[in-house]
Amino acid sequence: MENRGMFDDILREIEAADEPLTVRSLAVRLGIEQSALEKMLEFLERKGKLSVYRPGDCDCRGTMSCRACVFAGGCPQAAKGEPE
Amino acid sequence: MSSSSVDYVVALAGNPNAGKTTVFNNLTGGRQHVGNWPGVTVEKKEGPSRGGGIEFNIVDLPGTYSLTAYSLEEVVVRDFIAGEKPDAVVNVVDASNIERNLYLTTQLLELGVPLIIALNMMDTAEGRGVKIDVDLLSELLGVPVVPMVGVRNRGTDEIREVIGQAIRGEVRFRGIQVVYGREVEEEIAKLAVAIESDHPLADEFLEKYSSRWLAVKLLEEDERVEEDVERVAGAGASVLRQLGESRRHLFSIFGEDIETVIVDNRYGFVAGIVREAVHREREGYESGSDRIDNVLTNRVLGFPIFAFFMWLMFFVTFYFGKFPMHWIDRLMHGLATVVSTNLTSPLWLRSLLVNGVIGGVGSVLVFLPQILIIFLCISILEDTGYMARAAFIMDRIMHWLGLHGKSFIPMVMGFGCNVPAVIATRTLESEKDRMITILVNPLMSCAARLPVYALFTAAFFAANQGTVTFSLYLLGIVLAVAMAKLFRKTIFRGESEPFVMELPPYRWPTAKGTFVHMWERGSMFLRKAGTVILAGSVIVWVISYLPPGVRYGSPSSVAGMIGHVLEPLVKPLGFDWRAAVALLFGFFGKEIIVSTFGTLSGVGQSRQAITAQLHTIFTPLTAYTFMAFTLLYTPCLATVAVIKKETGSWKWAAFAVGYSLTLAWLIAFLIYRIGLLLGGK
Repeated sequence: MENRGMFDDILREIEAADEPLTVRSLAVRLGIEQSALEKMLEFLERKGKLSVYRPGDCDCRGTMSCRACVFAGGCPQAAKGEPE
Repeated sequence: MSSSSVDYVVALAGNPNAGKTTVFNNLTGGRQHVGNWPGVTVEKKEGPSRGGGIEFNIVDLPGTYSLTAYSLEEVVVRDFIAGEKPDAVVNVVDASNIERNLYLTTQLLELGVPLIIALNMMDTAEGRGVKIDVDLLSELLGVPVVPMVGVRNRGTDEIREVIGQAIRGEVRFRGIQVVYGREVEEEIAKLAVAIESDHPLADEFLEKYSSRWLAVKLLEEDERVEEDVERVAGAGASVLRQLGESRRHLFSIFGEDIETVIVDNRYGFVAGIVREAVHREREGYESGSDRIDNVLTNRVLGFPIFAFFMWLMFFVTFYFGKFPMHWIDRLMHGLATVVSTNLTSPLWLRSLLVNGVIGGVGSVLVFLPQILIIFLCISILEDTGYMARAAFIMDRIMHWLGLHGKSFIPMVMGFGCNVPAVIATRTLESEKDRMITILVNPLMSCAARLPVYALFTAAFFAANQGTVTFSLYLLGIVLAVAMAKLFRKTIFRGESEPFVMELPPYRWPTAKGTFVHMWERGSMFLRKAGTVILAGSVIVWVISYLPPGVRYGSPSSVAGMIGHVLEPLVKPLGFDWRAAVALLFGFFGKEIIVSTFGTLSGVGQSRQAITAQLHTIFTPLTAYTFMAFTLLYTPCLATVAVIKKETGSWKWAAFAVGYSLTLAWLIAFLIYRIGLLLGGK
């Protein structure tokens, strides 16, 4: 039996979208409150069903070149003050 | 009144930022005792209060979004409510984010506690056009709901009164719970029976939890509950056998893990309640950031605005950069003059210092102001949150071409430096997406190319420096998109995984933060000038000086001989042997192209002298062709090394070099030949 719940609606909407989606635009399309959708997306991401990209959320710490990254200011790794 | 002298305990639960602390302070009047939860460093606050003629102690539980066992806070809340059995639980719900907040409510309902909803932030909700039918919400949830505005201390007396009534047993809790559908409910029932039949288990847990709650948690794969059950009942217990059977059965029905089905049902339950009891006057709340995004990421306006910002960035870079550039130029020229006239050392050493070191490194250092200004602009765009929008806008273009995914984010990073951008492709789960992004990333014009553009645009397009540079960046983007499409259609066929992008809110950049980011990036350029560029300049000087006796930098020098070997390859593009040598050394770092011209010219450091020299080598048409070739041809050595590291193969590193060289040659050839046909010189 196919599950046709909220998660299914979310995944279908993303698959069917003819343009990239922001969390906000997806919330508007689905008529779901954005903050609630964020939690649902977190869950689906944990389950490996989709990915939510947060700019600066890269895996490049440990290189000198981080300093040249255009997202250095918003980099959560940099914010943690971890050594390069 | 001491908090320990009362008999009744009321727990305050809610999402983080739901205004729980404010409600707690209102209820306790600020009298509180702060400590830690036993065994953990999570803060515990409690304080006395009174309502409906009853004194009670309020315990402020940590803010959580759910009652799973994913975080320490969630475990603390769950253990307290289940273990301590408070006389009432007040669930502080942020009315302006009611749909998210009610998810926790569903789990509190499942625990079967005497629940009271403190519907906080009603003013914010109303301001956003959200109208909540409080009576209907109470009816649907089967618990009392008290509207509040915590920050204005509104609703505090009412909630005190309801707490008092609940403790006295005057409130009817209807015990409404999420129903998970026939198939799941059947398995919950089977598991509940198995739990109740297991005596050690029943004795240990049923005082605290209902058998239904335990059954749901077991099906949900709650590790903590599962461990506890296994510890008490034993590894081969019938409960665990039933659990395995139930999970297998439900997986065969739903085709996915049962936790997803359960969580989905809870959200569905919340959505149903929200549909009934919440009316939104406007379709989606719009924050200030959202309103700005309506324009800046608009389907039609987004790209032209992005292009305008890029053009503006180059205009500002060149316009304001020329003044300090002249100062550095004069400083370097003065230094070269001082060294060449005052240094009593062998001729070759003077030549090395003047032509090699000062001429090479100095000719690049002169562009430090431009580098700093462009990084200042990038820092401002990034710190305001616009750079994330730029990635989103670019991704929209990729989408129109049938390319999905997060590829454009590392590509926008490539504007700074291709090395971290290639590394950042690790965020792409799809191997094919990752390979495409790695291969096209070097086509994005990194900051190292800027000195080349600055030198050539100043020499040949002084009136339109910003616009010409902008056209090169645009060329890079267009070709990156086209090549990505080509790779997707040929060597990396397939679909990308779906993704959603979270755009950070816009914010004012701070002067300190912006300058720190600018300097961090700018200092890399300085470090490079003192290492790679210096080494490159010395090598170019050596090959220009040797063999002994030849005229410095002449066709008879080693540099000239190498250049003449390569010249046939670049001749069809309108370049001579000196351009070929500069491009060859540019492989070690694109700035070295500039230092090579500085060193090869053998004219000390004066930028005017280098410019004059360039006019003997290039025309405006060949200068533009040369800049386009520099943009596109082989990634620098550091980027090639990182491509090898990230792809784990020299094959792909060699492919990146090979295809970009071919592309650069073809595009440069087209630009030159079409330019000639159009009468260009």
